[in-house]
Amino acid sequence: MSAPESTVELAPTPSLIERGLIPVLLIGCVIALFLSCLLGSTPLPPDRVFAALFGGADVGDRLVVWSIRLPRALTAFLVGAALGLSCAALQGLLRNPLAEPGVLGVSASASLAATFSIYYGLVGLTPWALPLAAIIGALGATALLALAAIRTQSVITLILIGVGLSSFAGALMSLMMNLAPNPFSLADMINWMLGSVANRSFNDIGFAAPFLIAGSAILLLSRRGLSALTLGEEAASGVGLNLRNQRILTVLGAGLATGASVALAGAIGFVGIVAPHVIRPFTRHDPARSLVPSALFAGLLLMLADIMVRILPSQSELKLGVVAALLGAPAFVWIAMQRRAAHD
Amino acid sequence: MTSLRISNLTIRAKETVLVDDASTELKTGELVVLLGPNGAGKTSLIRGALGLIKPSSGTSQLNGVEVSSISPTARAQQVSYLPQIRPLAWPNRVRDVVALGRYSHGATIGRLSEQDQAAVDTAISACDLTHLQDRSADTLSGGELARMHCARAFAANVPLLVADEPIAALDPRHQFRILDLIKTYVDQGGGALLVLHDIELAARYASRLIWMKEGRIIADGPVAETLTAERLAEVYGISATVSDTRIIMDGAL
Repeated sequence: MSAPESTVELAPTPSLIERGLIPVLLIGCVIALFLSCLLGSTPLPPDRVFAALFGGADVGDRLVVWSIRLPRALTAFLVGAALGLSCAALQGLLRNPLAEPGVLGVSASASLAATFSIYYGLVGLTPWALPLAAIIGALGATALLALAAIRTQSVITLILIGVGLSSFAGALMSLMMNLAPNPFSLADMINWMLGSVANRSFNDIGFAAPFLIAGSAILLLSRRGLSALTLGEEAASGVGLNLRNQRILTVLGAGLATGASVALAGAIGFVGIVAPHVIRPFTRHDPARSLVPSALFAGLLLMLADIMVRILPSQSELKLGVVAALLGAPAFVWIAMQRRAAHD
Repeated sequence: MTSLRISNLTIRAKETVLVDDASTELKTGELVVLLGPNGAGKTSLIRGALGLIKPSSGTSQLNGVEVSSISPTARAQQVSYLPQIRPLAWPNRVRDVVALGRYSHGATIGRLSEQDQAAVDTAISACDLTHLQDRSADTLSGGELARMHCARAFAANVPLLVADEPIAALDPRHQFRILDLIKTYVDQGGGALLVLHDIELAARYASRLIWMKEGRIIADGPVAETLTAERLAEVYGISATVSDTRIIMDGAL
């Protein structure tokens, strides 16, 4: 009779849902990406899309898939993922499920800076002007929020500062539209304000990619500290978190990623907020573990929203940012109403 | 032996002096209780000693090394710090919160090493949390929460513990249980510095008392030497009779 092995106390293993979460989301993203290639003004049957993707189809199909639909779907995914990731990280840092780049005024500031670069024709000088401007705008706003976060413990104050930032950026934006020299620049600006992934190319993705990758890498590498922040800032420093560095890294990473997403698609609000809220229960409310699934889920959501935008019968195509806000803003209100005062 | 020693520590916030020229030491093997009325500077003293706020003058040294020059991680590998209990940001599982005590050892709460698992298991059973470990922390009672945070501190497996009011708002039985846990930790070779408001419990458990008033340490020594009716009057403004470590309080002076 050998002693049973089971005397060793079983460490709780992650449940099936926790393990399966990322693979399921990845499969969902691939399916949505493929669906995006099928659907459009001229629906392509699956076999022609396959042929176009893996070579061998006729030139027309290849052009539609590789130059129009695939870059568009990929842009929607990347923008969604960047926003979902930034949002999950900011929520971890500020310990509040209502923190979101759009709510905090980061998207609006990035969008303002991008519009500024279009208005003054900086975009004509170098293709890097637009992404750089958006990122500078995003970093400026996040830095301001981080400074405020050091002074105040109240997340409500931060959100109010964000609302102020958003309104100010909106006012400046209106001012520029007011002074717009011709209807063309006006149309350009409206595009940025509404947010869209239509007509994006792999080139556009390429110019935003370095910032997107850098921002995401910073957020993913520094995510462990977000778990510690669950305890509150004082106790988090008690367990050995370098609070100052954590703040800087999260703000920098979120600024870069959000800026890159605005450079790609303009201001698309509220996507980020839904994803972490849905994901959190599946990752046992650990902010660090919610980062990757939140990014995938937000990317998936935005791809689906973009498919919706394209197949909805409407006279002029709806802007993705408009649809995202129509779906996301009620979710924001709902999450806010669910919260108990005890957490603040 | 591990020691945390502050020398002539002075902490100011704008014009107000929070801690005034304080010197003392915490070593392994002793249970020190910091006493003083509200606003005496106890929390500031602790935070200054741990390097969480910058002193305007004086030093705090952990094993002879200036604490502000040590990284937060390295400091947390020597001293575990329990601030006053605040609500958690998220409804985490009890076991995951305890696992955060392993943060300074590089633990990621999703993937604990065997050593981390073992430390967490030991701390959880020591604090009698085994049956609660899969519960969500926002469903715990005050006493259970206090035990969870103690377990978090013990899971770190470090020589020193500094705790700010670990038994605030607990019923008497839970106060005894938490202090028993800390006493066991000290008996096993740890060193603890606690801020308490219950003078009788302090006298019963402490090996040394530090008395603070208006930012100054006015007495520092064994219970038998420093606990007197005169001191209670001076520090807390109460009239009381002290016999041995028993205190009978009569009221405010």
